[in-house]
Amino acid sequence: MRVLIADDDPVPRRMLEAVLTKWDYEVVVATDGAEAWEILQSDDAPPLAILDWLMPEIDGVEVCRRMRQRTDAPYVYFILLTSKDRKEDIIEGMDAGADDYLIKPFDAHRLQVRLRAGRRILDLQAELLASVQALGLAREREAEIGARIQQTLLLGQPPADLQGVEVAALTIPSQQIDGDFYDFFQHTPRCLDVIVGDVMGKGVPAALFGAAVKSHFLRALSRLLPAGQGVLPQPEEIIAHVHSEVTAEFIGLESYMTLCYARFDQERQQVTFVDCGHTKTIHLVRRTGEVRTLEGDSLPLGVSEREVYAQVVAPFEEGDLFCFYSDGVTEARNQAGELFGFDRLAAAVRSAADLPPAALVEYLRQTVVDFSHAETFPDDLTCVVVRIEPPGSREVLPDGRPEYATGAARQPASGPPTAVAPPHRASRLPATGDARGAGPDGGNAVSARPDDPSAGAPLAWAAIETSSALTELATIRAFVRSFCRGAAPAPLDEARVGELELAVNEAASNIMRHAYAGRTDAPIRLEAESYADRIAIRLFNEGRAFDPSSAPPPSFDGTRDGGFGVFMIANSVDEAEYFRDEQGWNGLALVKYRASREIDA
Amino acid sequence: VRCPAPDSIFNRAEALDRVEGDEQILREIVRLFLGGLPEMLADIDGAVRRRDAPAVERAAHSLKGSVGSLGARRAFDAALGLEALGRDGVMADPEPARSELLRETEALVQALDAFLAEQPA
Repeated sequence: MRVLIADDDPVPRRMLEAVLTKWDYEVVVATDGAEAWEILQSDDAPPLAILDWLMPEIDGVEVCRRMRQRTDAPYVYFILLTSKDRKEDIIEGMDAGADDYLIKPFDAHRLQVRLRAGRRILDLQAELLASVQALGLAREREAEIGARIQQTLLLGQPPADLQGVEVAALTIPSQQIDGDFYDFFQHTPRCLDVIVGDVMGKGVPAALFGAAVKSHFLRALSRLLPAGQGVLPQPEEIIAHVHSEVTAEFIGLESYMTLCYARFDQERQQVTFVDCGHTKTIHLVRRTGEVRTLEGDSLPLGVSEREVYAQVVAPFEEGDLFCFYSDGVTEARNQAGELFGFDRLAAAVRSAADLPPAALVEYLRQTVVDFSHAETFPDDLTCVVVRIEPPGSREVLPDGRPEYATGAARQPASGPPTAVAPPHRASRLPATGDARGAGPDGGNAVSARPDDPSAGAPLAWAAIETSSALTELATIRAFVRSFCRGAAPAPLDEARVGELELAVNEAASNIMRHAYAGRTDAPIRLEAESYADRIAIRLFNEGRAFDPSSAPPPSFDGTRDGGFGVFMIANSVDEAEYFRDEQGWNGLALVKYRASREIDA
Repeated sequence: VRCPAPDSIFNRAEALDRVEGDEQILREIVRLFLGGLPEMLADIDGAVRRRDAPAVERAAHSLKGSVGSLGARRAFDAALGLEALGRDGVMADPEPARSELLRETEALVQALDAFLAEQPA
């Protein structure tokens, strides 16, 4: 073992060096405190040091004190040499962080004993450090296993062929796995069960528990289905079955889980749910904007074997939204220690309710991240959004054929056919040609460059006019989807259709909420044009003009949604230009290219 | 006149103990001490002449460390006496303490010279 000796007196220094060398220590010598300090700073600092108390520049006590303030350095065992054997000096030395002391002139036998004690402590220290590191590695490994269990066993994928509902789910796993889970059972295309659960505790045990409970649900279904002779077991029967299977186990292992089981039945337009002590589920009634909650007063699963779980039925309407979440969402804290809470979550759901569920869960994630100023959380953040599709959003357009007035290919864009406007109301909105001429710098709002070979008349176009009622958003989305799918010369690919639809939805919703400030009877006009390389959608309104540069940066805390729309739009399309035409109409041109564009030189 | 016990001037056994009984190393250390001694004594003389108490304490402490390591009990006590005067700032009459230290140091030097003159075992 290497030992540092620091003494400014040559005679005792040489003696120490000689005797330590005889005892097979590797000796490093310093002739004063400054040199000792320098040696102790180096990467290969000796783990044991014998320091003379009194030295010029920096004395031995000070070297100890400085070294103990360094938390990043490995532990050094200090023995102080002092000719003063007064008690208070020794106490001062120990307070400064010395491990032991010896009276000068030193006694060889005592020195040997003290050095052995020092080595033993250093060995223990090293063992402890190695154990801590091994534990850390084991914990990392455990977290990996837990994450894998969670990803593969706990988080189910929403069925792909749902009709009439849209589902999106999101999880941010915490560093310690929590055992949050969700799953979906689809019984018929129009009947979907959603389970969202949260196991108490963390790590692999919680993840395994979650996986076990999930398998109990599958078992319950497989037992109850044949017993019922084809009749779907009620959620409360399924819960009762699982409860009878797992509660004794849970109690034995001193764990429990909260859970919400919800069945969405579109034929009856109702949700049947059993709440086992879970966070109250948000039910946004789209028509009125009212936030309701689905909640019961039952205990979590695994608390009492005598607990009875009863189901509750609630009606829903088309366009309604349900948001299930784990308490990790509402219990996320900001830097001031405040909880995110139910109210903020409900406000965020309401403010972004027009977004497709996938975008909505992402918005909720951003909102929580922004609130807490953190990307990682002590608990899993789980969120499942179910939206009952608004009327006429998908089935309205059989075979993808647009039912809107559509121009023939290469029809001169000189004026809209009167058929474009809904028959009950004459169009008061500017014609296509006017709009084109009224773009920024008097040019084409779609902003094709003069040397662009694809510039010129569109290959297909269509237009629609709707009212500014929020319920029209579905019609607008359907118009965009239908146009893009049937747009000559070829349909736009589905991913781009989705992005363009999202941007148009955002823009239209902004017009309804802000330009028209909630008025529902004002006109909104959409024009769609298809070119060889792009699709352009223009939205017109006669409401309050919107200056995009005045939009605040996106605020994800749910308190306002102004900046978010602009942010969302900019991220979903390739070009977005706001303009105002000669008649004072506000225009927004959104362009989506058919293929990824090369970066402009 | 009492004659001090030789062990109290230079306790060879004690000094050898500190180097695991290696006489050759002890000889080397004794030579190292004798080589540095004139400068140490000059430091003490200068400090005493200037009545510079902290310098007296420092110089006497240094000499004390060296003679202590060699097992020179009497020289150690003499150095300790002068160091104490310096530490307490009592510089009215340091001469007796200085003379005593000088005397004990001379006795130590004689004993060390005798040790060096012996044929190595």
